[in-house]
Amino acid sequence: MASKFCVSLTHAKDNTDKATVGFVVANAAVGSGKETLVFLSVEGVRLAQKGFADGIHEEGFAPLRELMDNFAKAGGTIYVCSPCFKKRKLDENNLVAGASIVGGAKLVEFLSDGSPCVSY
Amino acid sequence: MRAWQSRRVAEADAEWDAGGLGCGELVLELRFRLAALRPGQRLRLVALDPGAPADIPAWCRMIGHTLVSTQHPVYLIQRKED
Repeated sequence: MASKFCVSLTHAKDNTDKATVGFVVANAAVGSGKETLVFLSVEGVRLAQKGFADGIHEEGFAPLRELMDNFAKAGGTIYVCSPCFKKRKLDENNLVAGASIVGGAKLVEFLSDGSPCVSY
Repeated sequence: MRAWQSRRVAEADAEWDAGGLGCGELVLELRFRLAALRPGQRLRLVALDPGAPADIPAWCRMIGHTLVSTQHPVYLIQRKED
């Protein structure tokens, strides 16, 4: 059984349902003892900015901010797509806990030894 | 009061009523709560989520904790050795 798990998340406020479920599944993985990565790309990179997720609260789920805080607290890692981040002119000095800006090589490295990946 | 609400497992060292929590929210909090116990101690969990009967045994298999008994929505989980 693979020890790693990746969730690829491409949405933020453009699809709060997907953004929320992505982190719910990521929390299931990290809560199950997996080395878990959330890869934020396209619009999803906006979630890496402190405060952006505040106020996103899908019915039937915990608030997104709480899901992200718990993910970081449990040791989860967030990779933020560098070109997607730069394209949107976001602030690299205002990242949420557990997040770092990376290029594609870091994602490829994480996935290369057989990590499963689900996308939202 | 439902029958399961009045049942108590004498050998549980801790209890958590997770209510309707499910999926990642349930197992992540469960991880924190089991980590707070000592090896061999037991948690009595009440989980109403309809996914719990499938998720809790799978989670225990992955983590290595022992699912001592299950009678949805009540689960008795024993923390693994370090």
